[in-house]
Amino acid sequence: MDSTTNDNPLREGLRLERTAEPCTVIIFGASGDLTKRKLVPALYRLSQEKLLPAEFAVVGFSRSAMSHDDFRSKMKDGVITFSEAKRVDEEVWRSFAQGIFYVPGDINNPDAYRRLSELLDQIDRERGTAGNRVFYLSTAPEHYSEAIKQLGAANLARPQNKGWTRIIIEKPFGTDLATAKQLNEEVGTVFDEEQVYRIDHYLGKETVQNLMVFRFANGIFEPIWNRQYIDHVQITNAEAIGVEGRGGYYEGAGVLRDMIQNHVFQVLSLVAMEPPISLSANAVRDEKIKAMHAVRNIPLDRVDEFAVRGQYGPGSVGGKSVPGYRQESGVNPESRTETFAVLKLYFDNWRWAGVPFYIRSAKRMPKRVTEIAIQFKEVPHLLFSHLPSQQLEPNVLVVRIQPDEGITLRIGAKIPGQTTRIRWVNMDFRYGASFGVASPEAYERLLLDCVLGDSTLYARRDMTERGWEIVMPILESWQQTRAAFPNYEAGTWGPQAADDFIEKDGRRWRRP
Amino acid sequence: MATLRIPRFPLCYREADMNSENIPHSSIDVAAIERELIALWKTAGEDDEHGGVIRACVLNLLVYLPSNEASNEVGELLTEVTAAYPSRAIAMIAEADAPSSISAFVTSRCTLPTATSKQVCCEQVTIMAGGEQVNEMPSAVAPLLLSDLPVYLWWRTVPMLADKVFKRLVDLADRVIIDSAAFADPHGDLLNLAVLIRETSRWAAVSDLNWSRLSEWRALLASFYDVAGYRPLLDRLDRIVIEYAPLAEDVGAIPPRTLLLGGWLTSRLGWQLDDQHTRRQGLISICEMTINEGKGSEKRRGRIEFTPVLHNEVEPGHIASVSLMVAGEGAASFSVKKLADGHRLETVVTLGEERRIGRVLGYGNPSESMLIGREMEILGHDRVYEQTVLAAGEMILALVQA
Repeated sequence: MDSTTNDNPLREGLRLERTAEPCTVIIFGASGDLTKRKLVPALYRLSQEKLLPAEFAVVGFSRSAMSHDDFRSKMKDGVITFSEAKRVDEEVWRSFAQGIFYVPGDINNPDAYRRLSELLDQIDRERGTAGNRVFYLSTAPEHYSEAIKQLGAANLARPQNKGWTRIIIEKPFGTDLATAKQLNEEVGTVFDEEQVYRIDHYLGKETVQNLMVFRFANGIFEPIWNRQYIDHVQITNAEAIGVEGRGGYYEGAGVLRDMIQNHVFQVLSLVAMEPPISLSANAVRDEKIKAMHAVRNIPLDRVDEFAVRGQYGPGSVGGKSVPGYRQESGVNPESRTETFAVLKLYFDNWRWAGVPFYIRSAKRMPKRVTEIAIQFKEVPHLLFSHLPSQQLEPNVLVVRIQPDEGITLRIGAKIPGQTTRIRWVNMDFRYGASFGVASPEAYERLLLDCVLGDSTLYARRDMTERGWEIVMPILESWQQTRAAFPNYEAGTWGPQAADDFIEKDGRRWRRP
Repeated sequence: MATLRIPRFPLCYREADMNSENIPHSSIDVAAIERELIALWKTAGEDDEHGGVIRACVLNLLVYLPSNEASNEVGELLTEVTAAYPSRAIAMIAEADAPSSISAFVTSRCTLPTATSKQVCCEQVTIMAGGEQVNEMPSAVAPLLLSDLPVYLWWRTVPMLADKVFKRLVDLADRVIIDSAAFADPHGDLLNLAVLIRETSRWAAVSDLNWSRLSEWRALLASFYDVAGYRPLLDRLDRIVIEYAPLAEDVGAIPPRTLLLGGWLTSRLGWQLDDQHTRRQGLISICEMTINEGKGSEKRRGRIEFTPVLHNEVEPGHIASVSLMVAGEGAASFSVKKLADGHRLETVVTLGEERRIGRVLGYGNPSESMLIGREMEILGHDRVYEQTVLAAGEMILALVQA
């Protein structure tokens, strides 16, 4: 971890074990929602937790005309509105806000970058930020290329005065394989890969990080984490909400692009990967990409064997009537965009040969839930064959990512009495029950990691491209063929076709 | 059933259908306690209103109280602590001057269910002993510990090696939690603690809530030298000044928290106490130090000064400011100061005459339950703390003899 000062004897034994080097975070698209909702509140909190040094600054960059003070005032409102505390200490805020600046400018105007560069040099001199910089691309995705090109042209991508320069790129990272590759090429001509941090806020979630601990710090699971004992894996990523006013964006995306090829594949790779040789960023990411390279490619002409799509119609969620997708604002009334997708993937490697991984991601499901269910094989010889079949079920290990994070193991137990009857019971570990302490916000963790130079929880170039490679045949096939949409009612677990899809394999969906 | 509400963890408190009549006063029937705990869970599990409960337990928490006076306060603290760290809590209320007796009862503490989570409950056994029976408490506690879970002993009085109950309970514990802020004789008790840590370094780990209260100060002081440009100045420090508000009940004593901070700085910096030159200068206590620069280098001199200040805004026993200074060419000063309202800390760096960028940060005075919670997150020995107490003990001895 190159930013943690290991030779500081006063650091030893401190529970706040990581603190960042002096630096400036420059946010592109600073007048957008993400900056005031997530980014600045996260930075403020990190500062209050004493995880950032005094020599720290934030620079907002966007087209809106604003003064430094206007921007500070807007950010203060954001911190008050969107942080848990709902208030700020005026004097503490004033001290933090002294390090907040704003540069108005068009993303394609070289003059704006010259002014930005001058301000950054001034901040280095006056606030001791040592030339260390994090550029955060939070603009609309179509501006990424231009911003990167301009940063290169303004000589802002290269480290200044023995400092370091990093860039965080928000999702979506391309809209298909070609655009992702093109973006990676453009980034690569200006920044070295070590400077690039592709954010996936799912990886900032505590439970996702706990997957590594769960798998590699508990000796009992690794020996059974393979084809010998596991029948199949179900990953469910269900949202109860619809497109929430983002119909325009979602029309060009769909659930496969929006959720599966990035967030869900990150989770998938953590479930399927081999143990890394260390916890260094590249050791972990090497194993993740190795696993994803083992995913069997789906032939374009056989997509229906591996994927099902859906789109919600009107229905009811949580006791409230909701419109169908085609009735949402910004959505084409004859839209063919999928809001539901199911995939069946195989890993062609020794660990997982023959074990299907079923992935289900959708909007307007009955509830919000993200979980991984590992279903084990049935016992090899049934001693209790006289029992009704519904009493004989396999063990299931469920890792719940959100909400109510935790791990559940379903086991069979004898119902007390003179006869042998089996009841399936859950052994529960609930994060909220066992650790009543709040987890840090995903953005806090990810921003701090970037400032510390730790890219473990960020997506590497090869991972983003591999994600697209896997879904491209599906996207192309769905583009070429029509679907009878809508095909599921909002508030249900998806279309009948999805049930048929898994039942054909002699399995069924879990009800999360 | 009384209902307590705190912001994040709605809780309810339930006492089992068990009273001291079920248990003879001359001894405790441990099996009866276990039976009552099972009955308590059965009742909770049948609670239709809440749709069953999750029983959670991550540790055993033993709490020893030297009298019944603080039992209500401790009960509330346990409610908060066990909400964050579900435990089997065993409260031991010892009244050495009371008639000889021993009794026990069990209670459950539950978070109320929310839309997305079930009710979570944990259990408390309270053992009350008087007179000679106080000595029997450790043997009553031992069979009640949940196996394989760590045992924390929260010792709410001065830890003394000579105290048999303390010694026997420490034998059961993985970690002992004390609070040096509550020491009646700040110097004497801190010296005793140093002896205890020296004598028992291979024994249970010790946590001190007062040490935990210093976390923010320590983090801010350390963070100065995380900045690469300032790091070399740490090796050139030659003067440390700690300003503190004297204790109301013993204005002549340096409060334990101040001594711990001084002990931490000198032990981390590798400064050796020069007890021959340690002295009191008016109200200021000065400990002279020798600083070994490494093999073949000459030794440097340094000093740490403890200065009492009479700020109304700083609570007695608390720290007002800390300054770490470098003299001579390239003089520098790094200070953390508590601001007037006591809720903020200000950091200031001065290089020569130039004042560098500083900041103001919130300073939370963490509650006792939060401090206990922090201690629950660690199990092993805190060697930095142990070295701190030993260094503080040396300074006390030198100052007493000065």
